Amino acid sequence: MKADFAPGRSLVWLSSYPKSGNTWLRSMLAVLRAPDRPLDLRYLPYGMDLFDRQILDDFAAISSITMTPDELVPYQAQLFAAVSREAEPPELAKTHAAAITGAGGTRLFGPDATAGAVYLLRNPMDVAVSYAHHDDKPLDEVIARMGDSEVALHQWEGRSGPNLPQIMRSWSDHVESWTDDPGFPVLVIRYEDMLADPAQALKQVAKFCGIETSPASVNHAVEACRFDRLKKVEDADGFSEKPSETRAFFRSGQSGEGRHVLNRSQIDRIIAVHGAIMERFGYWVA
Amino acid sequence: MHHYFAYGLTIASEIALPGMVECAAGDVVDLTIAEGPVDPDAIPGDNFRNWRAEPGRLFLELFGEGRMLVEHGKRITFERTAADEGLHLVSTIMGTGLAAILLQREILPIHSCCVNTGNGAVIVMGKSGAGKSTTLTGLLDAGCTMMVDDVTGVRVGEGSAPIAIPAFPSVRVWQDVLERSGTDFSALDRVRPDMAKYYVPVEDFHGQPEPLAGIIYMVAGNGSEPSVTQLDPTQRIAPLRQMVYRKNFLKSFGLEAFAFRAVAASARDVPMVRYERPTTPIPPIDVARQALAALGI
Repeated sequence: MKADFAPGRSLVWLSSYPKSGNTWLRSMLAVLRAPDRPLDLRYLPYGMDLFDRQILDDFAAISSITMTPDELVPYQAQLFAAVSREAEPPELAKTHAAAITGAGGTRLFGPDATAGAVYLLRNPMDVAVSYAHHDDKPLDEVIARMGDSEVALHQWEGRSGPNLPQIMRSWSDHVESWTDDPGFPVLVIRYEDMLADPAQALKQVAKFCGIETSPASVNHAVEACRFDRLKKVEDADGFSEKPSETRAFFRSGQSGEGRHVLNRSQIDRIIAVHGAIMERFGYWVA
Repeated sequence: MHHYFAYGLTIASEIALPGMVECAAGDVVDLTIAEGPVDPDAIPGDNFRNWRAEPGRLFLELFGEGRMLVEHGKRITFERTAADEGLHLVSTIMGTGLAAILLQREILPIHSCCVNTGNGAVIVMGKSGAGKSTTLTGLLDAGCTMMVDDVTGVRVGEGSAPIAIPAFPSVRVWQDVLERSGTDFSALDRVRPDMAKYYVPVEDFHGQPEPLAGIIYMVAGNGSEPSVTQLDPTQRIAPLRQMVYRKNFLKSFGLEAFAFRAVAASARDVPMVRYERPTTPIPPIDVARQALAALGI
């Protein structure tokens, strides 16, 4: 499967619900494309700049702070289209937003402006454990949030920050929005499969994005981004997305943890809300 | 007709501008804000973006809300396209519209708040969430008087120091902050009708222009202590350029050379400190005192 590049259409989204391997994949892609540069998580490319409030405000001459996420969609879509038009393919960018339709029926990720997306998904039980650690929140609260269709990232009552809100909806809504024909090719990769064979996953992503690889370049990127190495880089140099001084971004990276950490009631709640999507993507729902 | 005075301009407006204080009509009107038809093709160009500009003129489309035309630093014409009152047309006129007027008058709009220290004006600039409002609170607690909440006009003349131009006597505050401080907000103007953010009138307002004596550049850090750095003139240029409000208009307005001169002169003449805010909150007055001390004020 390949992204649908065309003149004026260069943008490929690296999309996922949070805590699903997006930063790991971005790290591998960074090393793959610049093998001689030491990995620096503080300046990791393919970030969320396109969701930077000031970039949108400058581009569209609006004050996003006085507008709702729904109202912002046509302006964001216009910005993404401009980037897609002007950049050299593949232009990679990260997002945690669901592929939503906003004000005036405008799609946030418009088919005309989107060459494709790599969608990473991970067992929601493991996402819950990882997310609870990242946000320093109780598991029950995180599980409720993952089932809430109103959820947005970077949106708080009574304050605003440098990042634009990203409407995520529930974990299931998020997966469906990206995998049920968003209007452009989507390469779906399960975190668990990337963990089992990172070289294979990276090769698939590179091929989708039209990035040349060799077995040596793929192996080098996989080795440089082994979990223990990413943890070391984070400890030594820091990482802009590190949640706090006392909690690390890279924690365990393992799969299957949720089943052991969550209690029966928590597991049942996740399955009750997300069972259909979990089954569809081959996750244990017994 | 509503009459106001802001940014050194007498304004006659057909719509109420929340947060501004009405005054008597004068003999001279510097800026007229009027409702009327706005031709979507008023300014030729591609339709890839919701605005187009040329020297002296700006056309802007607000999807689902309306459009406006800003001309020669003197007139803003707006047309509503929404069936209802529209939710952010007015705040866009007051933000983007006024910034375009200032640029057309060769006044540099800087995304910042501003106070009078008694020894000149100090502006506080930074991205959303960097701590501008907190620092403003601290500066007011430290005895400074308010000049600007959101966008400061800076005039740079031949052979004179950069001058900060006051905006209007109100500050935008979220409802929960007002609730915590026990302020009655029932009669206050909202920033937009469905938003829990209000214009709070400022009693002690400094309405005269003042020479710009210092710039505090706020940055959100992730350390445990604040980091305060004095920047030399070459280091001041990038943050200043970054904080020019609606800087993407400059090229189409033919004002790049003007902006370059204004930024260079401000960087040369005005001390700037970079204040990196720690993750743990610090009292606003401490932020203000540390920053002012670093500026030598």
